[in-house]
Amino acid sequence: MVLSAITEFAAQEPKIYGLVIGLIAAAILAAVINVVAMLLVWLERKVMGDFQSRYGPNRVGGRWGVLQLGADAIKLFTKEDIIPRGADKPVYVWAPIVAVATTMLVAGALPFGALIIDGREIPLVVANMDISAFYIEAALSIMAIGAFMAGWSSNNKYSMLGAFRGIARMIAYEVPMGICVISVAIMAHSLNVVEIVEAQSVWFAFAQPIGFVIFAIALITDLGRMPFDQTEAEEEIIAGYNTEYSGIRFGLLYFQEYIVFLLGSILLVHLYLGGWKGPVIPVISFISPMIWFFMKLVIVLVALIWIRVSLPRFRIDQVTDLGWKILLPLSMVNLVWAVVVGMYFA
Amino acid sequence: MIDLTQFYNIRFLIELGAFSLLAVIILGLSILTVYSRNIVHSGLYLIGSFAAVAALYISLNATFVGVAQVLVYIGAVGVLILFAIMLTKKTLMEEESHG
Repeated sequence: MVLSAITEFAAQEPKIYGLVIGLIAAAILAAVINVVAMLLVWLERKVMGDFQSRYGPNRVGGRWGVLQLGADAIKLFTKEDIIPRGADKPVYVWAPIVAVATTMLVAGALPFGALIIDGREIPLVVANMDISAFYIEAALSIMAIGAFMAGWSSNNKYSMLGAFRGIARMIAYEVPMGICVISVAIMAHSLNVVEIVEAQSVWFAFAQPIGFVIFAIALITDLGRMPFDQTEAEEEIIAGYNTEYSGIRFGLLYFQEYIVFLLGSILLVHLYLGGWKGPVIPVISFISPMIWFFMKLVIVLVALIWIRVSLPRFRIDQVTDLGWKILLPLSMVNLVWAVVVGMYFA
Repeated sequence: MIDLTQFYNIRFLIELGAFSLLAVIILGLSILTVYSRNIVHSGLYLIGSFAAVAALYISLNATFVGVAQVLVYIGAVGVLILFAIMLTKKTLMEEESHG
């Protein structure tokens, strides 16, 4: 009876029904992302431990230390929340919230795999827009504001330098990254991430090798991970923009980096590695896209952790040099390549 | 005579509520941008106001314009303004904000 009432309401007021369903889906999505990002912190610590010939977390939660993160979260929640006297209090308080909120914007348009029901592929995405790739690019470009607010409001030279570097780096790498997304959209004839995935009968990593490399480098820079983590270079500027933070506010800023890490890797899988596409596995065919998607995602995540533990950090001037002088011209070459190849095979 | 009651359904009320909320946010943040004594706060209020304008575009079913607003105004213009402010002298700024 409840179901029939719901379907009747959906037929009468499709817009409001869509709004309610969208809000529920967004709430589920936020919960899922937080849990997966927590597991990601564990994965990174464990894999880094393996790469560096040590154990990593191995006490809390059995042999694999799975509950270590629960312990860390409780620690962060119960620590004293210190706000420096010279800090700009409202901006200081809002910075972690803005950082996490702008990051969560990206998740709304990203598909998290697909299911096959009655022979049809149903992508698991909250907002399946026509311009979702453009939307994701826009949401990625406003992430620097949270870090800027944190760095500026702390009233600390090192925090300020971290924020400064973050914005300089973001401006330098947003351009080649955007051009790579455009090249992918040209080849797929669509700006919709779901349609971009469907268009990849050949993975775009093979169709546009230059674009793949540029996008991967720009993505690592956007995520602020090891070869490009000048915003929080310990040896130079203490911890960069989150130097003055403690307790749960630091926890939010720290956690935000892992959420971006997860979402950025998912974006890389969708744009260049064929998303959830792969041969249908018999017997469990309805979740076979999910299996392919998670396999690719885990490979990308471990590869990014691998890069993090193996490469030393660049200087900030080398980073901006690389962005403006090498990646930007190369991304233009890739754009021309995408147009020519796209027209030839269209 | 136009029968006004036909407009007062639940969808109309939701759209009216969303529009009024966004209008208040846009106007409030714009006024704060102009009257704020601290130039960085002004920049942040301006970014908030840009975001509300983007939300307004999206609520009017102009998704592309809304997303372009986010990319161009928040991602480029807003960040550029913050970047330029950061290059200015902080002490000078504080003197101006207190004096």
